[in-house]
Amino acid sequence: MAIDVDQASREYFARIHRAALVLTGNPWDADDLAQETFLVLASSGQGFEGRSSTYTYLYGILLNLERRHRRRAGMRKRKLRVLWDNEPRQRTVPAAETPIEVSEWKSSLWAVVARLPDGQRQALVLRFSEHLRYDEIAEVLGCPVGTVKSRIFNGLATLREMLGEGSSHAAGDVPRHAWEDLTHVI
Amino acid sequence: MSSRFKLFGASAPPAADDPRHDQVLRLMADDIAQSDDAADADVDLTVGLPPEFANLAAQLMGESNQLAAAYPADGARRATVVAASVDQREPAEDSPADTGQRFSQLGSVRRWTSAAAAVVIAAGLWAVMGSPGNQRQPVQPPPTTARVIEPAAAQPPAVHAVIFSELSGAEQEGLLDLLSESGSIGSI
Repeated sequence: MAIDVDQASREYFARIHRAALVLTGNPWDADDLAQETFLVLASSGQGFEGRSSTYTYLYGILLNLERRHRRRAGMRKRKLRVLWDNEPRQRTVPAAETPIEVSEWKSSLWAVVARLPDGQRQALVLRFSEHLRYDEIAEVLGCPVGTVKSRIFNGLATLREMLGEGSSHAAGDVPRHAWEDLTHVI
Repeated sequence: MSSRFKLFGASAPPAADDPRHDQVLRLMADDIAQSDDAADADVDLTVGLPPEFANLAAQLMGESNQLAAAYPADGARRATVVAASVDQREPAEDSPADTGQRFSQLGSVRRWTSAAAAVVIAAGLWAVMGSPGNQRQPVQPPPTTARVIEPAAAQPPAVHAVIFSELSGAEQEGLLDLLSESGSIGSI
């Protein structure tokens, strides 16, 4: 079953972009992820069997791409941490690979959600940013509805705990560790 | 540093082994029943959630909308996606006539390629073998001077001095014996 990519992008590009924006925290990565999602759809659209709706299929692609994106970013961050630890303190050159999140995202609850485990984070994004039903979230994440409910509940509970522990867990204007955002040390 | 996050309720959320945990899950199950319609921004997703969670959820939804409004999707990126998908789809959308034309064009190209290859091969052979006009013609003896030639005396085997000098003494002796037996010793 082939998907009309033109029509799908007309209908869902903004939604996918919004989810990507909430997940990544910056519009540049969101643009890349949204575009890549539809390019994957265009190249592998023949594999769409129609068991799910188009947008749940798209969310599935997006989450896979975003997970890969985070993994790569995490590796870069670990390398940066090693470099930062080995560098003399007077050298404060910003790293080009440092992720830059927009201030609106940094000061939002979504920045705290970004620190949750993947399952809870994705469930919260699909539910409260994308307004998907529980069964649709279960379809995207490939798990039972009960698991989705549990992840959302536990995600909200952890989120509340993190906020209750103090401002250090909230994604404020100052990063917790200098190596997390080297642009702040200039 | 002051946090702008709102905290609702003073009690900690129920743990997994807390009886209230099951109650919350039941409430969430009620929520599923109530929001069984299509995904819609107008549906209240906080229905059935405990108050502290409902407020968190409401804040998440509001901030998601704010982010989307502040950083809307890039239309140019969507156009790129559409263009790329059209490019990928193009071969599948060819009409049979187009396909036939492409095959005929492909056949024409192959014919020209074969012809060019043949020309190149012929030129190569010409260079290696020489032109037919330059080829040495066998010398025909004049018809009036026919003669009978003795095979052994007419074409004695030629033994090059270089080869001979490279042989060892025993080999040279052996070769001389062979040549003397064949009767061609006089040509060396």
